Amino acid sequence: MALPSKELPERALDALITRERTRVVAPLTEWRNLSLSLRQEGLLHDAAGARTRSERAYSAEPTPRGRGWMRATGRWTMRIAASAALVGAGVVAGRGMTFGQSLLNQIQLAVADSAGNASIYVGGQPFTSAATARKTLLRAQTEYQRAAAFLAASDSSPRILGRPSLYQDRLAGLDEMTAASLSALKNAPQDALLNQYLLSAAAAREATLQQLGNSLPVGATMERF
Amino acid sequence: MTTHQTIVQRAIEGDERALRQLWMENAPHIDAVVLRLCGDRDLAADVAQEVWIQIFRALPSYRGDSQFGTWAHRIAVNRTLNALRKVRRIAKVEMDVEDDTAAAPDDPEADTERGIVAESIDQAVKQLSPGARTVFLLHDVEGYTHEEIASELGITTGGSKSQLFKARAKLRRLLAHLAEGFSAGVGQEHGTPI
Repeated sequence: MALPSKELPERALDALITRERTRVVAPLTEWRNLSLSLRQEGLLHDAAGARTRSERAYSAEPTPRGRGWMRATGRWTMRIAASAALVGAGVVAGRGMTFGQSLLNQIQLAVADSAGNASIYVGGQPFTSAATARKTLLRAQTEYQRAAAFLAASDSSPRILGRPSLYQDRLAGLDEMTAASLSALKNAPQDALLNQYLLSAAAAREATLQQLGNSLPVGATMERF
Repeated sequence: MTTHQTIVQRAIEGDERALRQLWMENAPHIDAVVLRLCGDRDLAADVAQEVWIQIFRALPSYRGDSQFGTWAHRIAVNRTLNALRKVRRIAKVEMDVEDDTAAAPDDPEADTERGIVAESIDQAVKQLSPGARTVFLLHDVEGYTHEEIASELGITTGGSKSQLFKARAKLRRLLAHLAEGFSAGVGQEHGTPI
């Protein structure tokens, strides 16, 4: 019987290093604090514009306390399902149904994977290792953020003029999602799955802000966001 | 002009949405670099703020020759190392590296006897000496060459190589308990903890 190894093989260490190289974390700073410093440095300028009723002040950061069903339930199953729904819905709004469904599948995969399943069948593509699944999830997440940002910036579909409330409601929901994720991450800051949800909510919120900006009447701007 | 170039241009002009978009897209990677090098979340949070201010301050010099993330990554590493120097961590690193003979001997048996193990590479790296840790992260994780590391830390390339050798040897011992998962698996990280 072979004695237990006293050293990790070189190739195994290299594999761990490769994984570490692709690790991402939730932002360490808050935009509210960073933007304040940028203003003081003169690197950030406030946009000038007329104020209208639609110019409600939109906080850049999530509301400190969640409201409604999210806070009331406090159950992870609800939060995870809601986050997955958020991602799907966010991309549908951006006319990316196929990719949204793909990402939704990835999130479901991640949830299942965290439960300890070794091999999961999703959308015709089997995953046999957690590393492969995580890599795919990370890639999908990054692609989603890029696609959502692009669609929000270049959306040529008919705008929902006069109905910014649609986006305002979505923003409120996203704030609750973000607050729930941040709260969870305080207890588990290294949890990759929770970080993914936070990033998804943050990306969707950014896209919604841009869509809200586009939906405002001509001449109206958001005072802050 | 591409959408990305437009965003950068708007960010240079001080547009909050553009600045925020660049931050949101890149913070997960950039902040991960800062956190790795600092090794301490509170310190990293302070440094990350400085890093992002520096990135945006330097934005007019970004010519688009490389990906924004790659360009920002360099600034993040430089700024983080500068910040660490300020808190006198790098000073010790440089001393350790230059005075190789004065460094505490790396004794594999002692490690084993003390039962030192790490659950992940992240934990293991924290157990390295500051010099070995910085060199290992810069070379193996961030992709710097020994020449670049030597220049960045003000040490010799030989010192850099020596520290890397020590770091990898110690990491392999600290993570030895993961070897079984690797040999039993299919050459992937199967069986290793997250």
